[in-house]
Amino acid sequence: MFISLRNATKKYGERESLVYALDHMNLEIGKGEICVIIGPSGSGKSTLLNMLGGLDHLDEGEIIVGDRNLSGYKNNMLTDYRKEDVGFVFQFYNLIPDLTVSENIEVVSDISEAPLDIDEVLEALGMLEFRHRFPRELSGGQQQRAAIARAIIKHPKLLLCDELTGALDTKSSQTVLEFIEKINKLYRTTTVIITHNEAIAQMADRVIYIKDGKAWKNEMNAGKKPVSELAF
Amino acid sequence: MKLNRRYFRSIKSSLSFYISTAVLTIMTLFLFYMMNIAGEAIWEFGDRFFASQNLEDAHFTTYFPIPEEEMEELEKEYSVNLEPQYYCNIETDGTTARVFKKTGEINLYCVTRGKDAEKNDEVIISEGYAVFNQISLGERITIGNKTYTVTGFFQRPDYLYMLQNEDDSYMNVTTFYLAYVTDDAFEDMGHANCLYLVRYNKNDQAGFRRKINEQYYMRTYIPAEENMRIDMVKKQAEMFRVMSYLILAVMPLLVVVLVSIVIDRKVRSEQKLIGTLTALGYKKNKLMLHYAGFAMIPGLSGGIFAAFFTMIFAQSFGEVCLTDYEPMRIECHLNPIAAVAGIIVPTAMYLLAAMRSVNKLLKKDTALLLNGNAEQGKKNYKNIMVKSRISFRVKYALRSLAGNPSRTFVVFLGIFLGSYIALLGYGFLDTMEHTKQRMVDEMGTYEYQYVLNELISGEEYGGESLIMSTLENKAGKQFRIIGTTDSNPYLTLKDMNGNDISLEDGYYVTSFMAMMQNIKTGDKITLCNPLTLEEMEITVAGMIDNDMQNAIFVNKENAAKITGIGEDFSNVVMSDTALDIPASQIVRIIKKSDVKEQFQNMSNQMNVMLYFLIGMGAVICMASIYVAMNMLVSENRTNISMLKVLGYRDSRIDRIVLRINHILLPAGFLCSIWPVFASTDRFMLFFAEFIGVLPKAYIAPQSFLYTAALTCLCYFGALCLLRRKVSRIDMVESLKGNRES
Repeated sequence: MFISLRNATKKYGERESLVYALDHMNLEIGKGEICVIIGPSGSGKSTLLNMLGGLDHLDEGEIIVGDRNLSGYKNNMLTDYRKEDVGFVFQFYNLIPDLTVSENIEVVSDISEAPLDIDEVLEALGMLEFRHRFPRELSGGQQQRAAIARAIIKHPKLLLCDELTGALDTKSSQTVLEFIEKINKLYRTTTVIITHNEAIAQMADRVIYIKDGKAWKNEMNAGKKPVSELAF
Repeated sequence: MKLNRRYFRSIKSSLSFYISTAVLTIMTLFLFYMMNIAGEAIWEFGDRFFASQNLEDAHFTTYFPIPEEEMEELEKEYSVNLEPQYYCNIETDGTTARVFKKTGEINLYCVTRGKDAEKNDEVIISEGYAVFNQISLGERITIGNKTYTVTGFFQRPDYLYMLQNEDDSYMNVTTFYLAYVTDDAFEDMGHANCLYLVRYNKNDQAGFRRKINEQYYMRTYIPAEENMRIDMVKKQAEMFRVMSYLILAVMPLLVVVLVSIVIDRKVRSEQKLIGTLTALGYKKNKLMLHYAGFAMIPGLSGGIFAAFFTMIFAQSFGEVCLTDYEPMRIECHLNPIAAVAGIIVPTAMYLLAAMRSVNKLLKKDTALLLNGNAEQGKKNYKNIMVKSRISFRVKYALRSLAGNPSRTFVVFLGIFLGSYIALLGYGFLDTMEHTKQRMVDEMGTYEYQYVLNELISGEEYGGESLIMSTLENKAGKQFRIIGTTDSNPYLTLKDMNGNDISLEDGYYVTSFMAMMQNIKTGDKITLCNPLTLEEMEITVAGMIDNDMQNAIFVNKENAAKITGIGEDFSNVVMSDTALDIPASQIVRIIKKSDVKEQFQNMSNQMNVMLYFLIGMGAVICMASIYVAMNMLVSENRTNISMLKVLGYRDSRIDRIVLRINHILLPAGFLCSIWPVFASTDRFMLFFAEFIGVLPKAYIAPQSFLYTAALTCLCYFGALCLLRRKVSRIDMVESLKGNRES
């Protein structure tokens, strides 16, 4: 398996206010899969994404991504992991407002060892004509595509998407997901999508349901559908 | 209002902001208070002491003594107080004691420690000398061939600045002091000199002076305002006052602008919260008051701490500033009105800045505020270099600078202020040093100047003989007339263009005198002989490039006409070597090296204050850069956290975010140069009257380097402090905020 969580635990607070964001969670995700993680608010989705992305440390247990065991990683090693292996796409895009689309992508390509060609990626995402636009000059869907371009420019082993359609209308959501699907096919990038939108689960190879910090269901999606057939 | 519970939490979370803005407020107020209090205290002391000790209005000497009964008649006729002052100068082992006979009406001495001399072997001495030479009460000192017990220390109002000779430029408490003994002991000292002290009760000075000259032949006449020993005290006070107002005009104003901009941006960064509170039904007034409360913190704390530190340090600072003088008992205290104003004014300014920002924000749609988009549509000027192929780092920096003009201005202002103050300190130091060198060059190539008490004819002792005397203008301002020849080998007289001049062409004023009295070539000016009060109108033929002497140069013929000294006679001899002139004929010997040393001593005394100024500059520079850059880091929290998420290490993030303002470092420094020159020139113009020479603003190349290095040090020091802040930005928290927004 490409991703393995064993007994992963993350706690917040103390004594009476102690909360298990991840409660001895175990799960596995295969290489090149699109995995959709579904759960209600407060279920631990974002904490799980933070752990997978090397943004935070576990209190107990271990996370293995590819050949990396993140559990013992210090901050600098996690930074290198994020730099080399992980691409992030967030609900609110998190583009740097003072940089154009291509410059936002350049921010990542600049520190990557073998980045993809910016124009090629933009073309693949239908964003080439907007490459000199600033984020504020783009629609939400366009901004999210720019964010996806930024995430994949380094050709990451793992693409983490946090509620990537949460701020988009249905049509934009569909377009964005089509690009995720396309990228997965094109680059065989393992993709983890965190969402509370059940419809998105239909495009996944694997669906994991989490609740109260535990993965209570982890199953392969036998009825996987192309994004174009999803009903939002 | 429950909302006000945020105050304590906000202070805790933005402690560095509140500390740095309060430090800036404290520093500027403190600098103003210190200078102003010192000035006021010295002025007050002077006023009080001069009045209580019946300070002279003038003193003079005559060729014929004034008999006592005639003195009484003169007093009645001209409504003056007139009193002879007997004194003798006694040199003992290289130290000169000027022993006075007690006067009853004018220039009364004040015993500051111990008791008056009551027995014939008792003496009281000037306090400055006693302190400098660590002489204690009860100690025995020798004056001439007699030993006295020191029973007390005293001060005289006409010797608060202890000049041995009236035309010395720097005090001497190492080898010169004043003393009083009993009248009998004074009589035993032998021959005494006499000068007359006068206080005018009505304004008929001219009539009195004419009468004295007609009947007793005036030899010298020095009004109190031309007497450096007296006038220096008021000028010192005035200098501090001017410096304080200069500081007040520049520093607090700039700091208030700087802090107000920072507060304005801080308020705008809370637009989402303001939007939320508006949506919850909070009214404009409540919100304005709430944010005004935040803004008041640096103003109130700055004002209170500045007053507190001033109360602690003002007295010591005032005393340090007066090390050149007799130990004056000044009382340095912070005026309660100034203290209250120091609290109220900055607080009110910060408060208004916050209220204005809230008011401006509340004019926007609440929906925009809730989304944090209130500034939308305003930043088109950020669209620069869109298609350029240069690195995104450079573009990011340039857009950040251009797109946030107020933030850029604050950083620039911080750098500018810091280098301005530091360079000003160095500028003063260099100008004084440079003046010392120029003084040597412009005074001439002689080494000795003998002032004689008899007129000599020809060159009987060798050297170059001159006519030198003191004149007044119509306003009573004194200057010198120097009568010499074009062939004087010790003086190279050049006009302002560097061309040689000939004294045969008429009357030439020095550039210093021209500046002090606003004289131009071709002007007609009235010269007045202070002894005879005869007036003469002359036309200024030109200007001599000489900022070191307040003088008018003429040929001997013209000098003789004005001074009444015969054309073939002289009263001053210049020489490059020591001359063999009988001591009885010499009033005094001026050695150029001594003048240079006196000037050096004077500038050394200023150094403490100037280094204090440089230090303050460094602190202000660092604090203001910290405030501005802190704002930059706060405003870039999301970008910084995103860069962290993308795999940027802290050092790389520092390079992207904190380097943005590097360009402002040389800009702020370079922009401070001209104002420093202008301020130094202005200050030196005032200072010229104080020291009798006109120093021209000069900054040595190494001072530019020192200031640049100091500014860089402060700048990078502030950045170093902020690196911690950058590294502490938590990417998860920031993303969480984004998710929740």
